[in-house]
Amino acid sequence: MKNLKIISLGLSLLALASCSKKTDSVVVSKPLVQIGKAISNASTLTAGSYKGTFLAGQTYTVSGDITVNAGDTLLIQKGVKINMTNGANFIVNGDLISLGTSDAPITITDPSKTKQTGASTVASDNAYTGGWGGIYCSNTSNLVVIKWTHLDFGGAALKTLPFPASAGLSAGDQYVLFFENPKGVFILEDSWLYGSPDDATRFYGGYYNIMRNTMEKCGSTGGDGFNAKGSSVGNMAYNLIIGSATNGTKTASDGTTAGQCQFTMYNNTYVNDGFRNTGVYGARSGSVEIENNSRALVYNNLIVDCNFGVRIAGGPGGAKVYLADTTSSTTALFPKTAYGYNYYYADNVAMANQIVPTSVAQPVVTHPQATDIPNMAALLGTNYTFGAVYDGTTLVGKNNPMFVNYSLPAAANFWTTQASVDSYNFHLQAGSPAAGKGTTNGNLIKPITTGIPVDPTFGSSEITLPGADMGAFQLNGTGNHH
Amino acid sequence: MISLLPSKRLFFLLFFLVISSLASFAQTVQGTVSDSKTGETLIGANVRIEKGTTVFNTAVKLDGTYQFKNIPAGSYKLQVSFIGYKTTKEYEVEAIKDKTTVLNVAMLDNSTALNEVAVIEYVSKETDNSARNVEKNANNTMNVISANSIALSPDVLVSNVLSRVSGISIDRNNSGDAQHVIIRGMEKQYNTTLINGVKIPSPDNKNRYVPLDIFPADLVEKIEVSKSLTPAMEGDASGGVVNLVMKTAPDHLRVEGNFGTGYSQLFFNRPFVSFDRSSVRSKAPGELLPPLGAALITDFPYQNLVTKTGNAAPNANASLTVGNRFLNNKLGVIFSGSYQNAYQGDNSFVVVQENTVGPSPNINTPNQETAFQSSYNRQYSSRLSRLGAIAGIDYKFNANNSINLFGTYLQLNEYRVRETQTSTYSGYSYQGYVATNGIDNLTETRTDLQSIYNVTLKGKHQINDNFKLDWTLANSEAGHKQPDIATFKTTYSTSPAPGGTNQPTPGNPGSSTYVAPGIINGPVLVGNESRVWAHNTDKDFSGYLNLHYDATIFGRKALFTVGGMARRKTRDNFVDSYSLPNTLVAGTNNAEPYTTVQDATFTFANNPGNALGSSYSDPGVYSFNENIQGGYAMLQYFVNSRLDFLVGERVEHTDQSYMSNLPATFPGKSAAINYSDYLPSVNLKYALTTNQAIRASYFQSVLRPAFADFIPYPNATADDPYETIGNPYLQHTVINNYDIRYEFFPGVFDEFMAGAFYKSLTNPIETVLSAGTKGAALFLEPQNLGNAHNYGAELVAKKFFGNIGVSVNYTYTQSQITTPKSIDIINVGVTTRDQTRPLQGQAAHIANVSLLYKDTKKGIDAQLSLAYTGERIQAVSKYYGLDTWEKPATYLDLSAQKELGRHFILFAKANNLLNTPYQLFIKQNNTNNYVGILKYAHQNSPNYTTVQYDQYYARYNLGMRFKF
Repeated sequence: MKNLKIISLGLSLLALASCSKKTDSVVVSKPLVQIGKAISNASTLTAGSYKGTFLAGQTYTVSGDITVNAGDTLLIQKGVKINMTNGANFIVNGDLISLGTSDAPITITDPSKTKQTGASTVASDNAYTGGWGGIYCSNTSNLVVIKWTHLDFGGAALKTLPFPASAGLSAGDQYVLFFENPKGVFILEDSWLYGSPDDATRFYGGYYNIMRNTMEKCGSTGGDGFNAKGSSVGNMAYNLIIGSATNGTKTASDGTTAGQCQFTMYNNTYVNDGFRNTGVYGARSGSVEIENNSRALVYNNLIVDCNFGVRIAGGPGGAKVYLADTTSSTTALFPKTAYGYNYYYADNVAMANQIVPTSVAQPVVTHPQATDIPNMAALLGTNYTFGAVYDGTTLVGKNNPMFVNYSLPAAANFWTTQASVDSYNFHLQAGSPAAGKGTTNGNLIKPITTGIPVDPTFGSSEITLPGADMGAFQLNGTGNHH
Repeated sequence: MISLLPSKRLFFLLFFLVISSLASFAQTVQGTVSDSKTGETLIGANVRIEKGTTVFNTAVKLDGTYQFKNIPAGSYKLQVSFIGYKTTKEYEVEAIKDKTTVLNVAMLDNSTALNEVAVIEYVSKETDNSARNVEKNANNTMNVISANSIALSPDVLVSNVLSRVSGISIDRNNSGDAQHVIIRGMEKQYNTTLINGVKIPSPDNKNRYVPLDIFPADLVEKIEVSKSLTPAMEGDASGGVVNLVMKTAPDHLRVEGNFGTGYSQLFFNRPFVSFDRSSVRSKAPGELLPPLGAALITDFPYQNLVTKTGNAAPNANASLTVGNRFLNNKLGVIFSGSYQNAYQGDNSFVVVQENTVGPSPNINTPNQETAFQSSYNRQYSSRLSRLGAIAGIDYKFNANNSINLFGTYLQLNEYRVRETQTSTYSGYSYQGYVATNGIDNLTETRTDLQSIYNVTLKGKHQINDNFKLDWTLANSEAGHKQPDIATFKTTYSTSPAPGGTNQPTPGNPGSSTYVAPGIINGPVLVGNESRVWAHNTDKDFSGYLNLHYDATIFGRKALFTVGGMARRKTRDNFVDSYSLPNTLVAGTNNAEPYTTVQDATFTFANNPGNALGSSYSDPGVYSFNENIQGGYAMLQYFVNSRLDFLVGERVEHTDQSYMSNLPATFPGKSAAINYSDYLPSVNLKYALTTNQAIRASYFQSVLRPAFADFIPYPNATADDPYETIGNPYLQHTVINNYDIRYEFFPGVFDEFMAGAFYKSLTNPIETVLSAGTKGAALFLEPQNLGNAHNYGAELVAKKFFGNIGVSVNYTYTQSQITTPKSIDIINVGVTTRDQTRPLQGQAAHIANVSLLYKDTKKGIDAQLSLAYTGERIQAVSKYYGLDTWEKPATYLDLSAQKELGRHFILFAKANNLLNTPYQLFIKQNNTNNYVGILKYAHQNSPNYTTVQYDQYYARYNLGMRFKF
């Protein structure tokens, strides 16, 4: 065994030597950004107000709520591990910047919990109960940047409101990320969210770039993955969302007075979403949900074994409430809610019957699209009226997207219990029928850039444009880097 | 005084306008005839007058009066005779031209050995006659209800009695009893409640206003409703002041009372649900544990969540009053006690409004809110146990000095089970209705223990002929305990059976709805359990001193009064809430299947934070101090025999502070609030004749926000479908009030009053159904929305025709406020526009009609009462045009009594004969909720959406009154 290693090392060196380049390969260390004073990890951080910098590579223990006052900034350097105890929260009234890197990600976790692989149920897996609290940002928080950061086991119930109730929170709420400043910026990139009891995120306003993240086991017996409300606008793209209790990504203009909720959702991979909401039938759960006067562009998503397909919600009884905004606008960030080029794989007839969601769970205004795979417009015919129940038997097991390492068709009900990535690999194999089937047509889908700063520290690392391969992982290596 | 002359002319003008339709008078002799001991009217007694050879005879009419109309002027002899009574002596009475002469006669029964006495101005305070006298003589605009009216009315609670006063509408609690009064469109917070003239604190956990359903009517001698203020009255009543005058020591031994029983129609229709109270823990875990101590699941006994259904026992009520005077009438003593045990409830349907509206095409079209995500079907079963006791001692040292010590204790214990079925709506159709995705069943058991006690010591001293003073010291405490509001929840999913059809979605062309042939119910699972402990106390200590000086100015009587008061109020609130997480079936995502409450298991293992309770950081835990000092000076001057006025000014200084358990990082954890108000007041009375007068008044008043109105934290303990949340930036309201009233008392029991009023409100406080940014959830929040106007007219008339009397009162109120509202427009987004609407809680039309029947020969009395309240806003929406309105309601009540001998009266009362629903609605298109395949329950019209529909059903009472 040892010999084998030595041989392979030698061969590698030889290979490297043989392809020497014309320019030297130089990796220059990037300067660490530090703001204010360093925060010492010599003792446990108790509840209180903090500003300054958590130093790279250090491990901190937190025993009470870390409050960032308005106007202050708290920065976390790469490689920091923060052990949160007593259900502690980050209460952010100022700015928070968590700057992990691909080599040295940051971890914020509850040290009493360990991740469990394989079959996961709410009863058996402690990912759904909430260990530490969450990152709750009030409307005085202008900038939150979270990059290459593991947010594991968040969602312990708020014992008390972190800021006034006009912010729209109740004691008992169990979110991991909460942001509400309509003028603020929230960047979540290349990060991991693992486990939450309710919605992993609640966004009520501001400018968002939610890109290239992996989300696992979010929501116990209810709760969405990335849930945007209010006047939030931005992008949700290149995310892998597996085992979400209800929806993977969702928009609704609930409670807005500051504007309309508008998002692009493209090149996301949704796997096994929408199966843990057991108390209520349907429960508006599945993959993508656009409802309640919000508007969205939904393209190039790969949706595998999810309870429902992309749903554009309608209003019951012909009413407009819950109805997604499907009207044309010249003032919105994009002219009209639109969707297409989404790729579906379903392992049973119940899921196949909801690739185009029907009215059974809630009213819909979802039109079957000819650009989708499978071509639902052709299958349902020109006389199809939205909401109508149809028979999708012929779609079961069709269009296997050929993941690098994830067996399809899956065993019966495997989709209801496999809620984490584990050792699976959701990159596409070369030759996947999902490769190259997406659209890069900027007239159909392009990201929102309004209000989203691009900056290595104080903004988005990259607003990745739509990719031609369905889902989060592009064959050319772009997209999600996990 | 000169400045008053033009208004005098105005009064005459008004007088002619109002009076021209009434008959003119000639000389008349009239009066009442009563028993000198009991004061009861002696209907049927023969009255004879004689002048020379001219003799007239008449009988005392059913209204207790006799009358000789249009008799020749001159001097008469008058004599009264009646079976069982000694014939009176001959009285001299003068019939003066164009005047009415009144002679009231009290007769002695045959058993009395003493000589009979002609009683002038002797009236038992409890008769209607006395009540009218108070109205006639009061300085301000006042309505008075006597104990006799109370006894004869179909009501057993003070609050129900009040609903029959002109200008008063009521709101009801979940057992159908009137709980608060709305006077002339002014919401309950604008009105104050006094016991014997002293303001009392409220056991309500949020508000200052006293829930009037705690007062048994038996304890009350009379109720005075003042609709205008004099400077001597506290300035925080703008709608009116309800003064409950408790029974006072009689002139002779009196023993009276009643006992009876009753039943609610509701519990003929469905079973009564009760729970075992013995295991209710009086204190929250958070009160027993050290700070941040973790509770155990065993700290939450399951036994009080186990409910039992059965038949409600019959209601029982009894009261006893004993009073007498001793020591040469110097010492008066009275005790009165009342006990009521009643089983009440209601069935309620609520569709839950959310903060989501459909976009509107343009700014003039209101948004639509016709789609609801969930609804509640609720059944309330309450056992209400009321205990009331008063005790009074008065001592007259001499003609000039007296003191009076008075104690009141009131207790209302409610043991209630609320069963809620929550439907979560889907998009498919079943049997013509929008079907559900899931059903939750919640059983809440709760105990509400409310009490008020008050001790008042009063003194009156006549220092000399011109100078007198009176003082009052009062100590009161109101408390409310809610030990363990416990809610057990089960849930199951409901899904459409296969094999149905796709049908066009009504109102939504191009869309289909699945019509299911059946519903498949999932297993019933246990949900999280909720437990809340709350209590509050409100302590008042107050003192009042009034100095009166009688002077003569320009030969006319002038009464100077100055006075002051101070009150120290301390309020404490506590709440501790817990959520007990359910458990899951191992290896599944499924909650534990429900078998019994006892077997349901909960654990804090995965959510240790839940074991801590909320009290350590719950702003529902707060203390509130309020110091009010008031002072006033006023002058009442009798300009001539017809005109008098009362003018003065009152100063009130308010000093408030609170400290809550909100985290220090919050605004509004504490606050200190100070302000002073200068409140002028003018009351004028102009007597047109001896029985007609015109009154006019102007006064300024204030409204202080309730304590909980300030605390910026959601409170879910109310029965509203929405949490309430306070607003520390609330401003107190200042109100300018203008009143004018014409009064006419044509007979002893007949009356006619007509009035008009105008109020302008600066910073009125209204309840707004407002949004946090928390998704779809709404909060009820008090807000200052701008300035408002409120004006109207009222009419009171009472007339007897033979055996039948008619009593009518009617109030028209027009109130107006213009506030900006949100509107969500397609392609524009949320913008605002102004909306003009009535004030919240104000009904344009309020009317009461009573038919009275008296058959004195058979000793039968009956009353049929109808109360109408027009539509009014229940909650203001933040959206244009989407306010929640209450439907007009007509309540019909019947009561009857029959005398059995001289000491007993058998009575029967039936309330709410029409089973009038309490209905809330939104004025918007409702077509698709009303017809088609996606209907909602309880919808009554395509033109409005019914969002609440409660039914209380009729209630019956039967009992016996005795009087010795």
